[in-house]
Amino acid sequence: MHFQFESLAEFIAMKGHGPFVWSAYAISIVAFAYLILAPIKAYRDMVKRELKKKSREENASD
Amino acid sequence: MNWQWFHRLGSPRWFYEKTTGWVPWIMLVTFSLLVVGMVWGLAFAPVDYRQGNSYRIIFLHMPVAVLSMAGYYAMAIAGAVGLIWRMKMAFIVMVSTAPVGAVLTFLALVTGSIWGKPTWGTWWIWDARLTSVLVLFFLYMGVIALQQAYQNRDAADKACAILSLVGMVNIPIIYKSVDWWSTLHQPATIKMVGQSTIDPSMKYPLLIMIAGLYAFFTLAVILYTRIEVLRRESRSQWVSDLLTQSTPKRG
Repeated sequence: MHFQFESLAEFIAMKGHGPFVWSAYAISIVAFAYLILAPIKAYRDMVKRELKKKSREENASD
Repeated sequence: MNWQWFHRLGSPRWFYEKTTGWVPWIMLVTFSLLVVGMVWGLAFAPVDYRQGNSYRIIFLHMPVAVLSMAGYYAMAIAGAVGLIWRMKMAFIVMVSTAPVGAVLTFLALVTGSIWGKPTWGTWWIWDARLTSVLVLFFLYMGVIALQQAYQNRDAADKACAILSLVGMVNIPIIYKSVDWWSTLHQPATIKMVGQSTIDPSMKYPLLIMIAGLYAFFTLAVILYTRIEVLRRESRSQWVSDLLTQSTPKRG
């Protein structure tokens, strides 16, 4: 098993197929990241909302 | 037989607390498999003598497509468990699988389209495989839309479960489409039974990517499920306590 390309430039160009291969990988990585980050963001939003609710309740009871 | 585990599994709170410790480990496994698989597939697997380098898209396209179908089974089975045993937790898993499956199906279509251009000379064709996968995407979107269409959550869950189960008929059609209507899409190269038509030097990175996508799917579904648990239990005290802890933990 060895690196299949002569140089970094050839690796990026992939004999003309570079734009296809790299865009497929880029789109997939963005989509994977989205599926992990979206629930994390949803969690943070929930925390914010809950804290706001709590402080409102505390203010109301004062 | 001891059925206690089954009842515990039905508790959203138990699921949430149990999976908290799992998430970083599954993340680590997923990340390692995907990085090794992608680097191997992009840089170290030999070039295909007919398709050239464009074939390197297979290391993403095929595992993503496998999970788009396996994910549909997972969603439909969760729906069936919810209907049969009236298990709340099963419906939560079902609802959380839909967005993950939809994104993976969308990716299968997009990466396939990008691979199709240099290989077939076209971005899209109404081939049996492509069309049936497009139907799969619409089924996932249907479940997401149906979930939001109902005011009543129980009714929404039941409707989604039934749609998932009915849509399951599409999965064998997708799987067999390349044999029944042989057009542009190539038939399966890795076979459970019989000789695979792929060289080991390309098969190993592909298997690593399939394992990576299974791990990724598990991770994403767990993360979405945890959020859905919090959303549905938002009025209970344990959720309120969890969310207002001083150090916000990761979802």
